[in-house]
Amino acid sequence: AEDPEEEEKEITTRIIIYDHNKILDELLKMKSENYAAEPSLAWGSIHVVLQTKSLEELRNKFTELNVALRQIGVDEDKAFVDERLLIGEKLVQKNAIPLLVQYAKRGIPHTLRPSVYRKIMCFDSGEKCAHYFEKLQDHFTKWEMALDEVLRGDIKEFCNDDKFFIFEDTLSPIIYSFFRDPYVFGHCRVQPNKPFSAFTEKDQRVGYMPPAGVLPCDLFSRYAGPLLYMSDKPQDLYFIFRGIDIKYVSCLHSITSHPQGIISLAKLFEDLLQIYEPEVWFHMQKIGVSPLKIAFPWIFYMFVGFLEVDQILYLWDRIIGFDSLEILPILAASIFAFRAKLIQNCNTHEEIDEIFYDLYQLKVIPLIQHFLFATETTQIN
Amino acid sequence: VRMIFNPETGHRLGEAQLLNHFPNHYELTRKDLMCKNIKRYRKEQEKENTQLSEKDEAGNFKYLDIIPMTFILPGDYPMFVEEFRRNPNATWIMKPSGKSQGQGIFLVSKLGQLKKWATSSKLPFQSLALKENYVISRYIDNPLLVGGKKFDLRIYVLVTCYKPLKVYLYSQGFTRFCTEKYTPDCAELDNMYVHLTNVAIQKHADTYNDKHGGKWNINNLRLYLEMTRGKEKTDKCFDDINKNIYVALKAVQSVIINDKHCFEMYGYDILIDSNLKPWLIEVNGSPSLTTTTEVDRKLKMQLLQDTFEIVVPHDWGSTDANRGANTCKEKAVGYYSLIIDESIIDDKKKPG
Repeated sequence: AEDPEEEEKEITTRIIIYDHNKILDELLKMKSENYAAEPSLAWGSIHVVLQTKSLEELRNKFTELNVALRQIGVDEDKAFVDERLLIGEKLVQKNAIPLLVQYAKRGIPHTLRPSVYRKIMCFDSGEKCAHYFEKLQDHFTKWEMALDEVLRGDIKEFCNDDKFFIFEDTLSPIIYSFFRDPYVFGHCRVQPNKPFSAFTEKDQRVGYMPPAGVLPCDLFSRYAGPLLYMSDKPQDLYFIFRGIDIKYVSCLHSITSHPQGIISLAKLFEDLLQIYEPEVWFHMQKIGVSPLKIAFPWIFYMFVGFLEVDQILYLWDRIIGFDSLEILPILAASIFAFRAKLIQNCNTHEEIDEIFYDLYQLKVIPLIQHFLFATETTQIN
Repeated sequence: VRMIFNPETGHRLGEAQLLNHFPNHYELTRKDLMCKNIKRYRKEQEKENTQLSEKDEAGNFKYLDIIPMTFILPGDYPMFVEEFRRNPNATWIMKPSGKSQGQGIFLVSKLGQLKKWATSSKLPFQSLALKENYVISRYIDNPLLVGGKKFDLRIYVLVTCYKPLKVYLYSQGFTRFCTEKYTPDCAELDNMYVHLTNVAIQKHADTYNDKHGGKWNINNLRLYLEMTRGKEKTDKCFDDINKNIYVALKAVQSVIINDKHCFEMYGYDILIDSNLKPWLIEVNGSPSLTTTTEVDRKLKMQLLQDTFEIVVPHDWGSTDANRGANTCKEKAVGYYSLIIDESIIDDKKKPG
């Protein structure tokens, strides 16, 4: 557009309700007002004293990730993958959902992932689901919400990514429908903040605005991103996406003391780094760079936008299999551990930024395995 | 390049010099000559009844059916008309043999459209002195679509020697997407933004986005196909792509003038149809190294780095150094992996 007036119209500022920086800022301000004793680790930027697991406890919890066991995401030999496919197909056929969750711990072969995720995230599939999604779509066609403007901008911005731009048409109905879905609010693992409510004349609450009872963070579309690779049909993906949001994304967006909440995850990251990579930690303190500031967006977005798509999916397999987000701060800490030497050779903020600018070469499962099972644990309190 | 090798100019390539083209690469990189060579090769293989010439139950070549039906104009015009009349509902695509970047390409659905384009005089088609050869191919009107849009693949292949054939395949390739949704609708036959995937064309579209540039990494395409179509079908598709690459090179192996100074990095253009069958569209001898996005820039810089790592002898410059572009002994360098090496005499395996 040559006309300067035209150009200004094009550069419309996107409305962002909140982003990960805002959440982090709030976390850093929080203190445990009623905690009397001295916390054992006083050097972190998270001052809320929440208990986090030790490496031993994490090893126990994530025992299926042990180096001794072959994993999807590490081992690619045909015999192993075929074996996994065979087992997985049987479990899918039998609808054995708890067993499928257990199965996911060692990773799901790509071909099976869509059906496994579908089984785990939406146990009542079929007619009911398709009809429900249609109703949400109808709502979108008939009624415009103020939030739609925000969502439109979010989707457009997200689709600038060369990994996801092709899927814009599958993504849009999922996002618009999600915020119109009243099922969301009551089923979040971690209760979101009180949403705007609509009342009748007689002070009867008739619903939330938006109906889902939650508001989107910046680039909310990221949480749907990796799922878009699994199907062309929004109705197939919607319930998987909703399930992941209810169980996991809600934990990342709420200020809560829940052990899966964002505060605990941030603290776990700092604790792991301080205890098991103290030189890295102290070096970064010396040059005035906060490790949490770097790792926070990775954890907040479940690594979408930072890793290759297949790596994100290997990671999400484990989140679903172990039903825990703790794997996110573990991976974050393992990346710092992996780049320890490079970090210690840096002296400025810019040099550190350069190290973490590009994570696309990383293979997540070997990194996690190495950190969990190969780190020496002799130096703890 | 031809000038360099012309014996009459009196120039010779110095011992340490390397050249990024083979003297008569146009046998592969010109659309009409590529077509001619592939057709000739197919006939030869069929006559010798080799493994490569195997056919399936329907009588189609299993491995040699790599290009859509193509005629070279003006010479093949009568044959083309015969074929056209046999399938009057088919669409055809006209391409000038020696051009690039989508220049001069158009779709034809009626014979009349061709005649109108070729002449305003009353001369019969084949006696026209066309400025250059054109190829007319059966248009693949059922391309594989993702997000409703047509795309093609750009795959990089490095040949360091033709006799014996030594070929490296680059694992980082990308797909180039059209900006507008695909439709076989007659009314949109001349809408380039629907049909032609060349970046040179698409970047002028209103909806062109310069952040992703319409380029999607081939490994992500593969992941998507594996999850939506299954591993078996996807693996076969990518195997077939490798076979296409192989057949095209074998087809010109006998005619290309081999020279130890020469290497060539080709940009193969492949189109996958809705049945996951890959078609060879053309082979570019000078694939674009300009970049449109940061991801693109990273890819092409690494591509160049890896290419030079292979073709430049490690002791280049020293007086008793190895000569030529074919000194690399590694099976994998950077993102390249060796896929064909005919210098291994007892390796009679077919690729893939």
